[in-house]
Amino acid sequence: MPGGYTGKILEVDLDSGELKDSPLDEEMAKMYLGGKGLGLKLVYDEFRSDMQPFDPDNLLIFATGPATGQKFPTSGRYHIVCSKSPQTGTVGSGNSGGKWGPFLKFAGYDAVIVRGISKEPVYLSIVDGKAELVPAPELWGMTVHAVTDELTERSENLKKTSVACIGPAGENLVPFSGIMNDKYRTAGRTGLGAVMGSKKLKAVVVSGSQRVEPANRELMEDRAIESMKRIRENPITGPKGGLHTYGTAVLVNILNESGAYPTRNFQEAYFPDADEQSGETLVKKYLTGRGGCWGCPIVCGRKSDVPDGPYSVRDTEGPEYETIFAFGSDCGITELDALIKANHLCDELGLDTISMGGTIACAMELVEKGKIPPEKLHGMNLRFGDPGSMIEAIWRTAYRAGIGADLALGSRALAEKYGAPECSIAVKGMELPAYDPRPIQGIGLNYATANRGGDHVYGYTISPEVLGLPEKLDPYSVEDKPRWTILLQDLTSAINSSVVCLFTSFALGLPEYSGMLAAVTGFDLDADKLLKLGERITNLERLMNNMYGLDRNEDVLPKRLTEEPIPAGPAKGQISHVPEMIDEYYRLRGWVDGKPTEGKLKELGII
Amino acid sequence: MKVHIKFLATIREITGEPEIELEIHSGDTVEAVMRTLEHRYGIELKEATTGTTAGGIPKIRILVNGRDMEFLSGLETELKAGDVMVLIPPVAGG
Repeated sequence: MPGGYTGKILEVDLDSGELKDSPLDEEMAKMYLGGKGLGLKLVYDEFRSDMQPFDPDNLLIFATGPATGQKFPTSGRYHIVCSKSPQTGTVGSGNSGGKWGPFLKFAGYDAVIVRGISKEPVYLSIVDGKAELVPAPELWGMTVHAVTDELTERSENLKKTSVACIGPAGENLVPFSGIMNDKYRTAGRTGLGAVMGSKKLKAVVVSGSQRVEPANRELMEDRAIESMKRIRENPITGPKGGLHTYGTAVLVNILNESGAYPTRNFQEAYFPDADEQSGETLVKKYLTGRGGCWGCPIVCGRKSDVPDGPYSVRDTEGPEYETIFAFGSDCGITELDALIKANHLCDELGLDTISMGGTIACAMELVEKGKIPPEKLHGMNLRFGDPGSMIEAIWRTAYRAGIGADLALGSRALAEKYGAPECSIAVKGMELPAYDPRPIQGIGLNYATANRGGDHVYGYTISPEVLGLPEKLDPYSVEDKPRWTILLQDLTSAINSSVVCLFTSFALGLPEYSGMLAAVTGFDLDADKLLKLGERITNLERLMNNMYGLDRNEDVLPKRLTEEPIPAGPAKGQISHVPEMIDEYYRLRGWVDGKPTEGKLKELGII
Repeated sequence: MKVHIKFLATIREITGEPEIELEIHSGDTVEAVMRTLEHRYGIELKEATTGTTAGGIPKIRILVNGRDMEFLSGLETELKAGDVMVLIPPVAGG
């Protein structure tokens, strides 16, 4: 077995209760590395085009990569994939940090494949190579923090135990519920929590002390030191850098001043009170500490505390930039303490904050336009700028209570139900993140083409277009954006299959990643080969989406963003030009109408 | 005439205030305003806004009315009444 792998995959059949170890296919590891790539390949090998999200054979796969758990900076991450997302109808996919990924590896496995549906609620325990399914009807209904505490206390080695679980939202099959680990870390997008809930699997507990040897320890350590030096010297990722000091919320003011901070369900792109919910204000008013994932020198996590007031919540974590936008400007809400409370609730209930916020913002617009009648709200004052109703909407969604049953549809089905589909700001049914694409052309192209739907982190063109990294691109221009979007999408596929944190890409590049992976695995890798591997993974994911029936008709932005110019603010008058870029994107990809050609699939070794 | 200057992240820590209004003359450029700010906030601001970091990243990015000055006329960009200039140190998120 190559270095960096345990060589074992745990297969769990919840129909029969059978657990078995399977060997990791070495050729598969060479072609797809681990994490996202490995998960996708395992899904592809059992692919069924008529799969439904809550079918027993919708595979749910937790996958580490060769870097996971190694002494390489930010190697505390893992990836989760499912055959079909209940939110988007695509392959489902999410990435998370914390310590669960390395702890799965230390428990003896590279990945866990879950199939079937249990008759009663269970949790899966994996301790030092020994796996068992434990009946857990008493855990069903518990919130994320409560079940995490309960299962950690049951373990024999508290400090070496990590819990990934769902909250009530996942149990209630909310299509944008996430899988939470270590209480505050989330594989948030595409509704992986609902798939886990459909299987009656409440949690996966991992613990162990089995370290995995890299192929060349000396070389790996040299490369880790070199990369660590780059990360520490970088003004963004270093110990006094922007990410550590202010967290991701440092972006609030930057995007707002660029006229790209989505406001009131993307009806506007400038929020006058943005500074009151910025990273700078978070540090000043509510920050109590900072925390990082396993093996991370960046430490971007926030520890926060709201000691009193209507939104008080003690000793919590977050919020991230995306969450602040989703419940803040997008809902027309200023109060940062309410956003911290909303974030805490989503962590407890197991909800994706971006989609939850985007769905509430959609509902607020539907109410404002008279599409949702007052009698549907049962007294709830669901309007832009009202933090109390926003918070109420969150728990109502998780429990499908009252109007929450409609909110739990997600914005696409909600807006269709009330006769105003234009109010859903989503791609492939997944609500858009915190960058208005009208004045940032590349990110719009990424939103339209990202395989899992309206996504920012699978091709983060914000880096060159807004932050000037690794070089400045004019955000208003379409020039060269298809090439950049493809480059960043394929790079990210490789990063999510390694698995390390995307934030390292502010300091590291393909040579550092490929050098590290070559030392860990012993594979013949260089920058070009790693990028090709990333391209293979992006194409495999696209192929499966095509087999589900998706094509260029789904690679589109909401009309608001391509037809309605931004009404005011620094980017007044801008619209997204995705329709002008998409054919060039397909051409460079070797795709026709959103589908990889047979020649491209053969070139990449997929078929 | 007056322009608005906003300070983000670590630049705000140096200035001690999130934003100011500044009286400038007709024809003043971004560069002229930067000299005025260096005079007002001292050597610490000058050091924080000049040159590049160890990794070759420019220490400062400047927006004028939402546009990076590099896509306007750089330091020679002329300001007019009511313009908003934003000083951003190297930061990122996601």
